[in-house]
Amino acid sequence: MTGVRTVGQEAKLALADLRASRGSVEALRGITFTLPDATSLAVIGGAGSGKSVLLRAMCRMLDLDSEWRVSGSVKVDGEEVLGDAIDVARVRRKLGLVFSQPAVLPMSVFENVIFGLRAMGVRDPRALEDAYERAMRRVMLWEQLGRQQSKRPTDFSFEIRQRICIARAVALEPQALLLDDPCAALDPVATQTLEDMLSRLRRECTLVIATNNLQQAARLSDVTCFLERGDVVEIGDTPVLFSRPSDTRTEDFLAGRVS
Amino acid sequence: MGVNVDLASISLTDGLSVTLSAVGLALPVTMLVALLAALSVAARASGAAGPLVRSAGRSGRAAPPVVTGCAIAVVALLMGATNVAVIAAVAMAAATLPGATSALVEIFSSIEARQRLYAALAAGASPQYVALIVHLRASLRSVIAVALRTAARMGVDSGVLVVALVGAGSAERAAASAPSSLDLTSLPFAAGQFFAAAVAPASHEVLLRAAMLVVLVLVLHGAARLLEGEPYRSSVAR
Repeated sequence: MTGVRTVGQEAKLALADLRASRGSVEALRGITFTLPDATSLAVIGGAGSGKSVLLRAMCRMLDLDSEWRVSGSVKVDGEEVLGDAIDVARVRRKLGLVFSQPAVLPMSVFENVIFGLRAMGVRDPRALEDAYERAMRRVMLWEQLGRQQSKRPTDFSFEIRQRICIARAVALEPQALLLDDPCAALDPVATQTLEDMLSRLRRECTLVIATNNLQQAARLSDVTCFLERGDVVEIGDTPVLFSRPSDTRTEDFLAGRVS
Repeated sequence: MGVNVDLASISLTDGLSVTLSAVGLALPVTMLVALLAALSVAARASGAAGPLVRSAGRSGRAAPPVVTGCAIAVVALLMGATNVAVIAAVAMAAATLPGATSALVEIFSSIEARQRLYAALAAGASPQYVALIVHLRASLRSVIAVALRTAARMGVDSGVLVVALVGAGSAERAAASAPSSLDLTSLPFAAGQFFAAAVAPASHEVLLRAAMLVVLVLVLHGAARLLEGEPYRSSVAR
């Protein structure tokens, strides 16, 4: 089944018949939905349902493996991001991807946060410092860590490292932030802290969060999409989907019943 | 062909310096080529090593040093045994290249390296930029450790080479009715002196030089271990 959400605002993200396959295995089977600006979408589903593949397909990370075949359409602010003629690095800057494990780079906190800007060719120290401060404030790290910019991220906890990774994505002012189970490596307290930060961030940026944590999906999203074997089973407003799912498969999944 | 007289156009009076000069020639070439090969594999995609590289690496590491030594001895004999340091350097570079390349590919293909690669790509860096800057910066210590281990192996290889050459030289001398005992202090390589000292332990000078090589190899391995750090100790500050 393909889910379509139409809202009276201009779509920030629009996916049409997005398919991804690796060899004979079809990981995404024609995903279609639209998402308005400053809306957060939670993608839920069991293992192998295609949550991570969906995020990677959107930001062209599947291009790194030549065995993947991706077709369909992904539009960000009306601009197509799939296709050979597209500047892939630019797409990845527009759709900031954050991984489940905090993947900090072997450099200082400051260099980590402004890494993408440097890769873009920004050299002005003042501009880089401003971008660093802005990004650190948005991930609520400025008070705590702003002045410790020369330290290595590995000196800090997983939660701080994950926020540094989010700051690296946010520093590029992306159109949308794609978070692949961002709290998977964190304990409950750290998860709560990170969720607080994401709750604030979702007001100013479109978020797509793939998560295995249903409570987290309910807390952080406006819209929820339930995937099963690469298909959209159901997509809709989070409170509605969690309280009155229209498909029995969604109901079973939310209730923890193995289908 | 006499081992102690005609082998090289360079001075062979100090075996250790010849060993070091051969390793000094071979090591930078080996590491540079291995680094470029490993980076090209990593830069291509997510750092997955091609089966050919892995296979060559396994073969390269499995080949015993005596194979290198014998190969060099044959090359040296065929070439009239001139420029022995260069001949040894070329053969050692060829023999250790697959192993060094494979070790570097494994470093660049580790889960952590792959995560860094993906993270940097997600931040909009191009693959070449990522491969050259991020991989090298993150793996500098490991790369140096591989270089030190390669140097240690080359040192051992050169010792085996000398044993092979000494054997060939002794046989030739014996055929020409030369004195049957070797002049230990003038053997070309310190490693060769080590093996020779085993049969003539009275020569303290020879023993000292041989011990120096053993110490050097141990220091190289120790430095490599120190640079790599404790493999099972997490540096994670939770």
